[in-house]
Amino acid sequence: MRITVWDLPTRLFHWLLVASVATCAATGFLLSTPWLRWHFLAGFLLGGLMLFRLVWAFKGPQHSRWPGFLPSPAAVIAHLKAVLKGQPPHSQGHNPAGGAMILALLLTLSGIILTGFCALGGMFDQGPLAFALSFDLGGAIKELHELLANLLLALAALHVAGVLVESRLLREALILTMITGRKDLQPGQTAPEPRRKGAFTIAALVLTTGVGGAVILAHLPAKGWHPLMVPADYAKECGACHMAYHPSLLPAATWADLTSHLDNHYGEDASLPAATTASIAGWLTANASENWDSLAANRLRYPDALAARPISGNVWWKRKHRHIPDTIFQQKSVKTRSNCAACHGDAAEGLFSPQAISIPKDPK
Amino acid sequence: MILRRLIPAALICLAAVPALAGDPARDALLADYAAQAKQADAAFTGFSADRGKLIYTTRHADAKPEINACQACHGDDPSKAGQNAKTGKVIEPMAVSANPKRFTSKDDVEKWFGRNCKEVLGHDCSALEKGDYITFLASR
Repeated sequence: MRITVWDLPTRLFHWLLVASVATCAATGFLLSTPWLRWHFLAGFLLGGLMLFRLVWAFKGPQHSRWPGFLPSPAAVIAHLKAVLKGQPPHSQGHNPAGGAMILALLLTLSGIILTGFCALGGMFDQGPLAFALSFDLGGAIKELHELLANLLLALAALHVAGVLVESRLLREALILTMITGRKDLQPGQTAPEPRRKGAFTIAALVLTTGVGGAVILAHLPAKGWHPLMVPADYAKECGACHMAYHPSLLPAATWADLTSHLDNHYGEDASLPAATTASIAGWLTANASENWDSLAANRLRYPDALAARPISGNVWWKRKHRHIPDTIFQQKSVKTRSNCAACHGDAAEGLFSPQAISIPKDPK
Repeated sequence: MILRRLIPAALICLAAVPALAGDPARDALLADYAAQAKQADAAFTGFSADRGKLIYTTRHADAKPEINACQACHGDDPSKAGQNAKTGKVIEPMAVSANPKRFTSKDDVEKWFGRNCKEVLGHDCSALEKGDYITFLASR
């Protein structure tokens, strides 16, 4: 007789998780910054998936529930010994070692998601934790995020290896079971309990609360960045020749130095009436990088304020742009490395989020 | 009787509108430059769009190569947007037909002539040059 061991929601969860983790790993470990938008998106999806899995651990069918991932250490060791002998006993759901692995995977992944939201909030001033975390704290937690991500890759590899070994020893297509959900009922076994009443209602409720709560938190003011009104004279006078750089990009001393030498402004005469200069200089220095805890303010911060320009000479700036060929910078729509706004759609707001990057390619 | 005199007068006024491009501030600015040009040279009879065009298009060997003419940044076609040759910043069209706000603020006009004449032409522009230049771009 055929029985269902993994119900459709559990299977969907499993394969969506695989796809999301693969996306996060590829974008996090291998690809460049603009790809981080998919990392964030897959991370949000993982958050939702884990909320669902939490409900299913209580309300799902028998083999999706907690007891299956909480084997005694003795049972795990006994099972591994049996595997070494080549004779593992057949398990309807997770075998003891597999169950322990699921627990390890879910806990590690929960840690990754949580630390990911911390890093996103602290470093990029985005997401539900942007209101709470400083840049430095977010950056420190990002190290943990990466450590856990490495651990997860190792665990995932062990998980797949375990599945392959058991499939071979038991002559049972375990991967196919995660697709069809079906297994043969072995002699002496009873059919598993189905999911509990109200499982979908509770899952919907938890997901709505979780996602809704996250959205509300994401709308709180971020700790490191705030919207800033750009005064008309700055937009008009400075923005006439180049993008109106956000004041958070340079320290106050650098802005003061720049605005006091406008008659020789990178080789150009950009002098303004004294009153206009004073008003612009006052606004720039009052909103200089010292007043921000944003990504750009932190990354462009220099111990020596007068060495802070040009911004494209900054070590971190150079590292982040090292893979961008000169031809991209030289093309008509960009012209120069100082034209941040040509690629960063939110440069004028001082945000520089990965999602706003769009590198133009002029037609030949 | 009065009507017979008024109609031709009105027609003349209407015909003059496109030529002056119709902005009182720009007209006042041009009148100001005309007075200065007359003062500098009694033989001054009026601004010339053709001379203005020459200023716009002439390339200056002494200037930095990327900014050796007005049209280096403002574009060959002044009715289209230009681009700062150094920073890539888009510059609104210079031609009044495409950008009616051009040459309507004396402060702005003087600021840009002050900076760009020295940088591109290598000298401060005379009232005659300024008037010719505006006349050319007002005709475009």
